[in-house]
Amino acid sequence: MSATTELVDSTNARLSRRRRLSPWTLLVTASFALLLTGALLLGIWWLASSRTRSAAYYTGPAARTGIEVNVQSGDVTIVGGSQVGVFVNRTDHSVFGHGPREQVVVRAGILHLVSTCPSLVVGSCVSSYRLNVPDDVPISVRADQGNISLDGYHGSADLATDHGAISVEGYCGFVLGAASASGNVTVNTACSPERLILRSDSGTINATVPTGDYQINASSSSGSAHVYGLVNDIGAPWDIQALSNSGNVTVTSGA
Amino acid sequence: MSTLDLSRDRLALHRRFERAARSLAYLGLGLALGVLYLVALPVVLLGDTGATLRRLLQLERTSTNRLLGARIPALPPTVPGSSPERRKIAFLATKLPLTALATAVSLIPGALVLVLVVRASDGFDGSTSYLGPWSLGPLLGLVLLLLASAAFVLCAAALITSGSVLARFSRGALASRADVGVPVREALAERLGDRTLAIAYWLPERELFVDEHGHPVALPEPNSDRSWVAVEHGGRRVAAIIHDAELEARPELVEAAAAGAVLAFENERLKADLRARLEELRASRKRIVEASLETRKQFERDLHDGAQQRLVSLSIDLEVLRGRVEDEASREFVDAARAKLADALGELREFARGIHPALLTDRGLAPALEALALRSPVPVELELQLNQRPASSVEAAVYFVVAEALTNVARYASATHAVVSVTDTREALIVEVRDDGVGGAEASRGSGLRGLGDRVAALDGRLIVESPPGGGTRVGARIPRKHQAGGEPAR
Repeated sequence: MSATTELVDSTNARLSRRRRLSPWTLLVTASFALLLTGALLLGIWWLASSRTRSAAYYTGPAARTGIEVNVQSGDVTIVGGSQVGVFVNRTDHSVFGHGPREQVVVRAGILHLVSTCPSLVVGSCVSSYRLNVPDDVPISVRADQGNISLDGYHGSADLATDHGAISVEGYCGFVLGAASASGNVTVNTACSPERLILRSDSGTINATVPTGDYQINASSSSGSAHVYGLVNDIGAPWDIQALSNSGNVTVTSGA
Repeated sequence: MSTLDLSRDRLALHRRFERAARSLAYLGLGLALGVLYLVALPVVLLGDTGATLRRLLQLERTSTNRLLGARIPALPPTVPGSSPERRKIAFLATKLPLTALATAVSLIPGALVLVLVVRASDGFDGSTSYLGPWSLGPLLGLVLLLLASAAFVLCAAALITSGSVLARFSRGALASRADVGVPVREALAERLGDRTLAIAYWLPERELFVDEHGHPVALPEPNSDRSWVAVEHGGRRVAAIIHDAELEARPELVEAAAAGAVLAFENERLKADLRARLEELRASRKRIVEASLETRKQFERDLHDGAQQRLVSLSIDLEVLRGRVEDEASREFVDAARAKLADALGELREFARGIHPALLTDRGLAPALEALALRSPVPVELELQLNQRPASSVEAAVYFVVAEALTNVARYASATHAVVSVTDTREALIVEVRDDGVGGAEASRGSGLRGLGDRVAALDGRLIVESPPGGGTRVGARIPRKHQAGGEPAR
């Protein structure tokens, strides 16, 4: 054996000794590699399969007595002032081929719009809606996870979300209910509503109504409650209930 | 007795998970202790005499040693009135954030384990959820359990690593600076809590174990009160740790301690190898000198009992012959023969004395030196302080140093007076011959003094010659006590 070969062999032997890892180190490395590989594969698949699709349709003039929207995951925006029927703009987001499923039914003059998502361990399924609705058709919106906006609507509305904020602008109508379990509730009415029922578990409530006399019940269990520029009159025709468990409550007079 | 191969350690999952559990317990306890330290530190900072700080440090040391096996040595005693050490206070103050960070890092894989197990359980229960593109069923549940096992291993590894880092941090903060850089035996003894611990280094060429001084060591027999662990590195035996058999119940401590010191073992082994070679060389030189001494004694006895006795017998015969001879010329011839015989006998006695003086063997160093002094042509003053008769090799070395020095005094020094002193101290036997001669002697030139230097060096001693020109000569030798085992009191 030549000197060069011996030198190469001895160097290789030294390197192999240096590279030799204990079984425990190998086990830890293999575990880490397994988890990392799984996470990377899932992550890459997630990005590759992520899809966003939009759709718009018109439901026709059938919804004359009510509109009920029930969305499992996603924001809902209601815009009043539609002349005829309901216009729907939908944006769906899906991963791994699992997207939202929609069901639209008109029954006894009530439009039922239901959007559901499968339960995903990794990733999210979202369906966001924008509805142009006619005034004076009572609407009810339920969202498990998502924000609700009501803009320029005249009529009665019942809005509720488990996780998300509720925002109402330019409302004018009889009864407005807005309840959020863990989001803020912000209401700005253009005229004095007959009943304004606002609830929040952990978010703040801000209501701005036209100046006048109201039956006002504004309170918070652990936050502060303030009424500015309004007269609290038990005999007043308009009723405001703004109750929060841990958030601050403010009822303010508008212009 | 167990064999430890540091490069091919087994998985030892049970031991690893036990370490991880102890680290987890340490982290949990550490969070509580961290809060306690933060609460108690103001007391220390507001003029405490050190007692509170010491109690806190002792608490930390105890928990770290028990749960992490950190082997932090005993804390040095507090000097009354001394100001608390900033380093230790800073350590206690950072205990809570550091432990919280280590806990968070360690428990991330732990949280992953929980999530995966819950999802796997959902899969076995027939959940309608999806994991990626797949429906979460029993098969996917099995895969998730496999991933949970991997996450569990990572969690254990993270806990072990956190524990090691915290143990090192605590050791660095609590161990006194005197513990740094101690020899490997002391460090291991401290770490394992066995003061009697010894290390035997393996010399592969001679196939024996030696201690750090190079002396051969016998490993303890099985079932004795001592046990030993062989330390190997890269498949090669390096050393053996001899420890109290009680420690055998915790071999992982010995293994962990040995693993951290394997390079130090290798270094110490090389030193021990060198010392063993030196020891062998020294023993070999001593054996040669002793053999030479025995040969000289035998030669002297042979001359005394053989040729010398025959010559004495011949002298007596000549005396008898002279009485019987009446012729004057024959009588003068016999007288001349007797005179020649007496000269020959004298020369023979002198020769025998030069080989090895019988007086030294028979009566010891003091009479032999007195005889030397009497024969010297230069007046010699003797100062002897001998408590116990030294070994014969030492006696011979001292005798020949004095004899050679006195011969040189007589031949070259032009001295009028010489002093011989022999002092027996607790450490060594010191001999000195000084004269008031012309000086200028050089030990390296004369073969006599050089030979004496070798003879003294064989006994681990040292020969010194000081001879400034015009300042007299001083020849001194110092022989260590360990070679002076004699037995009889000096006469």
